[in-house]
Amino acid sequence: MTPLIDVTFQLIIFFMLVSNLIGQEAVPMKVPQLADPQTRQLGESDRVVVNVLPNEQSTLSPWVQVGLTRMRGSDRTAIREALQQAVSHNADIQVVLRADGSLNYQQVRPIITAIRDAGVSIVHLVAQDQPLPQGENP
Amino acid sequence: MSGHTYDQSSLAKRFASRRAAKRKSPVMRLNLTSMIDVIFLLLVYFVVTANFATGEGVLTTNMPAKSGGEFAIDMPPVMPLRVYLYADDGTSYKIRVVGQTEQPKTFTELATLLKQTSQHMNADDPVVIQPVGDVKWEHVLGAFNAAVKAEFQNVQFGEQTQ
Repeated sequence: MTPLIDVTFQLIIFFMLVSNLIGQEAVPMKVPQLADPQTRQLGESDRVVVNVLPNEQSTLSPWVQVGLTRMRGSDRTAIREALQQAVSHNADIQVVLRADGSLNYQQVRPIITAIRDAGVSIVHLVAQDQPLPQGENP
Repeated sequence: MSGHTYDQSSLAKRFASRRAAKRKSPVMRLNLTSMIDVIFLLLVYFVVTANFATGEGVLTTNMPAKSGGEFAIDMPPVMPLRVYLYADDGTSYKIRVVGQTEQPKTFTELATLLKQTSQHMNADDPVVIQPVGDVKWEHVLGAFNAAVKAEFQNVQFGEQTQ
């Protein structure tokens, strides 16, 4: 009985830590909701999450969080360097781009450019799994 | 008969000593069932909540190769099918597909139109989403989703124009 309880406690601690890290990476926001989403669930792969959040003080410079580091959207050099560091560890790393649905493309575009300039070739764009109710347009 | 008779006091003493021995070494039994129940409940809870941002999915895109200007797309061998997106006002949008006389009004209509167009094209022919003005990210992703729905595999974002 004792080894069983030991293993179970180890599993609980592991999942507690993992869920905590994942929670910090995926910042709460309203990602776009699409009419008939063709989204799929992301499998296991080496990835870095890039969050783009609205900034009330500056419409042109949203908040960007690369992994667990938050920076200004206007600081494209810092964003690129953070991603280049990830690419230097794993050349096949993929980026998960979570951008708030209320943002303009103008605000997200420089972030995509920075991702491309860092040498990332595959980007996963995040949207909600649930489709919009009938009759509603995004 | 006298050999089978016991002295009452010696019998009582013997039983008393047995009871005392029992009291001295009680067998402690811990009921683990409830504890294991709680542990498994915690385990199931953390396994379920450890998923990546539940309720979200991804649309995958390949970044065009880095080449000079922002969002410059490498000249593909085939002319890309361009889908222009205009910001009508803060919330709505207009769609224009190059080479089409009847334009779609919604992304569902765009997906249908692209699906019809795809019959005359290859699945890996490029489709470029071209936002014009202050188009919302939600709408750009809606157009991207429509192209994916039409089974195009090479969907890219064009340089934003004003």
